Amino acid sequence: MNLRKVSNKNLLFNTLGRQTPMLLLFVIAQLLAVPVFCMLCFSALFREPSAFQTLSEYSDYLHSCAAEAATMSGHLLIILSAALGIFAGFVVCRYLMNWQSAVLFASIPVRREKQFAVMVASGLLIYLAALALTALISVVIFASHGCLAYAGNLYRLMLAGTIWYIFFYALTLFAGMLSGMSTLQGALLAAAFLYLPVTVGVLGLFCRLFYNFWNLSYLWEAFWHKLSALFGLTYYLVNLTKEFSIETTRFALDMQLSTLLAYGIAALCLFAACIPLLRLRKHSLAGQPMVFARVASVVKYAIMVPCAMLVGVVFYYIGDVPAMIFGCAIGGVLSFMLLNVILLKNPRAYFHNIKGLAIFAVVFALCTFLLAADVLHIDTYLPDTGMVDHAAINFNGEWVDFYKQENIQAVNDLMDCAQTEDDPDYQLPRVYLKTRYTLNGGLQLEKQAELSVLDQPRTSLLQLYESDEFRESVLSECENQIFLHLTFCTYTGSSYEYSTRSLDQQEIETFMQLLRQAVGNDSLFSADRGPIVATVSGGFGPSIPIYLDARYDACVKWIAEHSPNGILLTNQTLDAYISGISQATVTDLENHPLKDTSDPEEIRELFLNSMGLITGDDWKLNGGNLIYFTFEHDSEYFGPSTCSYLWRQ
Amino acid sequence: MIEIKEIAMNYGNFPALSGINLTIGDGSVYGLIGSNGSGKSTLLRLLCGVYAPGNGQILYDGQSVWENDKVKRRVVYLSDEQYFFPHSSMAQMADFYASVYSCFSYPRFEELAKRFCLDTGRKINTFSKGMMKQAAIVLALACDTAYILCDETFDGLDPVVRHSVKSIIAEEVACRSLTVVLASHNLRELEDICDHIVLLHRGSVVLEADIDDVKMNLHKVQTVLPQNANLNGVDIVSRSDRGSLSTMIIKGRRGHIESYFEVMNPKFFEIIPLTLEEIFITEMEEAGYELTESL
Repeated sequence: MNLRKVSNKNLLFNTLGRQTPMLLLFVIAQLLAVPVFCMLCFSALFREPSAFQTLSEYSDYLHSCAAEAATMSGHLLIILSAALGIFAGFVVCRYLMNWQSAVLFASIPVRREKQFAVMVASGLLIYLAALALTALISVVIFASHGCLAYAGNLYRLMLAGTIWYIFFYALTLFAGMLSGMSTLQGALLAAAFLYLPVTVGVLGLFCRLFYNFWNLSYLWEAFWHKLSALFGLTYYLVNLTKEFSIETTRFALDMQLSTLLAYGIAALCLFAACIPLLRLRKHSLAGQPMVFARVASVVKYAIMVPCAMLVGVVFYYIGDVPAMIFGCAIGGVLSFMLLNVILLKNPRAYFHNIKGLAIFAVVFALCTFLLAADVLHIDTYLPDTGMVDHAAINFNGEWVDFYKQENIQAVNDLMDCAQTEDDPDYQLPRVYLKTRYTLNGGLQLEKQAELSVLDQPRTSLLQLYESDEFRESVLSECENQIFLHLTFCTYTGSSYEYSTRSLDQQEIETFMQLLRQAVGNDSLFSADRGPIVATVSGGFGPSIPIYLDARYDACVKWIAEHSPNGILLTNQTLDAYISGISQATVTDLENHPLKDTSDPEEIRELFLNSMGLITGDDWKLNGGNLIYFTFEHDSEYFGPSTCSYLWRQ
Repeated sequence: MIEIKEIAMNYGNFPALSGINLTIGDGSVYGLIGSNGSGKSTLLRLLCGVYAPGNGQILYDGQSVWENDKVKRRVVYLSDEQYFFPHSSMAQMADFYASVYSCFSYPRFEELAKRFCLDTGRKINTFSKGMMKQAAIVLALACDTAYILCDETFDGLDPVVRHSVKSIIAEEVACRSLTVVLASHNLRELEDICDHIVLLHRGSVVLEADIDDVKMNLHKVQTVLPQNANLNGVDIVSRSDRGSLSTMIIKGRRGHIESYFEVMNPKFFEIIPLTLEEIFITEMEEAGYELTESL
C-alpha cells in the first residue's frame, strides 16, 4: 500500500483551494477600496493641468492628494475589513451549519480542533494574501507619483483594518459556534450589536414609567460612551462622523495605540472560546437554530424580557399601569411563542417549556412587586453625605456640582421631600428634579423625582440657589444674587417669552410677600389660574412657572411700579426683535383685517403698544377686544418666523 | 476487529440505542437491518466516530474510535445523505479525501469512476441522484481503508449498478479483507452480500446471526403426507395447510429432515430455499416480536 503523508497542511491547501472564490472577492474588494480609489484620486490631478502655475504648486497639490488618498482609502479599507471579517466568518462556519457536511467532517480522520484551526487559518490567510497584494499595488501607485512617504499612513490603517477583520471574524465564528444555522448566526451577530443598547433603552423607559425614582438613562450613556467601544463597527462609524478629517490620521493612530489592542485581545479571547464550544457541540444538531439548549434558553428569556417591557410601555401610553401589566404579559407570551418557533425551528413548538414561562412570569412579577414596593429600599435609598464626593442637580439642562457637605445635605433633603410628599393626584404644580451622586469610590448614582413646590423643599432649593457653588457654576455671569425671574409671556399657554427681568434679593422678598398675601395661602400654587399677566420662574425651580393673573392685584401693581413700560425687554433684544419684523398684521378673531403694515415705525409702535400688558398703572386685562397680532419675523437675531398672538387691546 | 461494548446513545430524552454488544470480525460483511428509527444509522455514525457514545465503547482492534485520528484513517463512512462541496467535481472531492486519507488511491479512483462511467471532471451537482450515490461509493472505495461503513448505500441505484457495487465490495473483501458494515431496511438488498446480519429494533439488537448458520438450520418444507403422519420427530417452527399440502418451516439439519419424511412415505415432498426475509420473520416470531413492528 502506497501511503502518503497526510498533514493539516494538505487539508489547509485543499481548503484554500476550495475558497478561491472568497479570495477573489477579497482581492477585488480591497483593490477597489485602495489602489483603484487612490488611482482615481491621483487621476484628478491631470484634469486641469493649467491650474498650476508653478511646479511647487503642482507638488503641493500632489502631496495633498496623496495624503487624502491614503487616509480615505485606509478608512474605506477598515470598514470593508469589518464586512469581510463577517463574511469570512459565515463562510468558514458553513461546514458546521449543514448536517451532511458536519457529518462528513466529523467522520474524516482529522480532529475537530484541527479542522477548525485549518478553517480559521484559511480565512486569515485569504485576507492577508489579498491585503498583501493590495499593499504591493498601492506602493507602486504611490511610488509612481513620487509620494511613497504617504503610503505609511495607509499601512497604519491597513494594520487597523487587519485587527478589525480579525475581531469581526472571531465574533462571527463565536456566533457560529453557538448556532447551527447561518441565519441564526447572523441573528446572534446582530443581537450582539443591538441587544444591549435596545435592552438598556427599553429597561430605562420601563423603569422610568413604573418606578418614579429609577433612571437608567445614565446606564445608556455609559454604554454608549464606554461599552460601545467593544462593538467596533458602531464605535467606528460614530467616531468616523465625528473625527473624520482628510488631513489627520489621529483616529487611525488612536486606534492603533489603544482600541486596536483591545480588539486584538478580544478577538483572541473569542477564538479561544470557540474551541471548548466546538468540542461540546453535537454534530447531530447541525442545522438546528441553536446547538446548546441552555444557551437557547438564555437567549429566549434574554430577548423575551425587553420585548415584554417594550409592549408594556406601548400599552402604558394607551392606558395606565394596569394596561402596562397587561401589555407586559401579552408581549412576554407572544415573544415567548415566537422565539420558541424560531429557536426550535418548529411552528408547533410555541408552547414548548410553558412551565418555564410560568415560573419566569412568577419570578418577574415578584421582582416587579419587590421593586415597586421598594422592599429593598433601592428606590428610596439616598447615600449618606459622608459617602458622597459630590452631588449634582440638573438646572435647565445644566449640571451643577455641589461639594460642600451642607449643600449635599440640602440635595438629600430635597430628594427626601420628593419621596415623602403626599400628593398622589399631582394636584400641585411640580418641579422636576434630577440629581446625580458621585460616591467616594467614583460610582455614580442617579435619581430623579418630581416634587410639588411647598415650603419645605423650597427652603432646601433656596439654600442651593443661594450657595456659592451654584452661583459660581450657573450664574457666574450675573452680578446680582438673582434667582427669581419675571417673564412676560405673549399669550396664555405660549412658551414664547419676549421679556425677562431678574429680581434682586430685596425685590424677591417683597414680591414674595405680596404674592403670599395675594394668594392668601401658604401654597402659592393652589389657586386657580386666570388670564396670565406674567410668569414668575426660577425661584422655585427652573421649570416652575407662577402664573400671575388679574386677581393678584397687589403683585401686578408692584410689577407695574417696577417696570413702568410693562415690557422688560432689554434694549438689545427689543431692538433686534422689532427691527426684524417686516410685516405686522392685526386681525380680529374672524380674520377680518384691522391693520396691515410694513412701515418700521408703525410696526414698532404697534408692537410696543399692543404687546405690553402693563403700561404704567394701566393694565389691560379687564377690557378691550381679543385680536390677533401676526408678525412676520426675519431677523438674524431670532431667525425667520411668523408669530401670531392672541391678545387684548 | 470492531468491538461494540454496551453502547447506548440518547437524542435528548429519546433513547436511540441501548445496550448494544457486537463483535464484527475482519473481512466480514455485516448487515444492519431494522425498521425506520431502529437505530441503524445512529450505530453507524457511532462506529465512524461522528457521534460520541453516551455510554459504552467502540473499539477497533482495541482502540477507541472517538476523536482518534489513527483509527479513523482506517474507516470510511458512506452517509445516506452524501455531501459534496458546492460546485465541486469528483476530482476535487478526490483531492479532499486524499488530503485526509493517507491510503487514498488515485488510480483506484480513476478505475472505479471509469467502471461506473462517471466523468470525474464534471460538477457533481449536475449528476443524477443515482450518479451522486455512485460517486460517493467510488470516493469511499478509493480511500482504500480497512473498514467501510455504508448507510442505505443501495438506495437509488439501478439494478445493474447495484450488482456492480456488490461485486466490487465482494472483490475487495476477498482481495484485501475489507470489513463492510451495511445498514439497510431492505433485507433482500443484504441477502446476496452479507455474511452476518444484525436486526435492530427500537435501539436494541433483536438478533445477530451468521446467515449460513441460519440457512443451514432452518428449512422450508412443502409436503403431502398420509393421514395421521407423526411429526413429533422434527422441530416445526411454523406450519400452514392448504388442502392436503402442508408448508412447514422446520429447524434442523437438511439430512435429518429428509430422512425423517422419507420414512413416512409422503405423496409429495420438497425442500424450498428460505429467503432471508422468511428466516427473519421466523426468527422474530420465535423471539416473540410482531412482524409488522420490526420489518
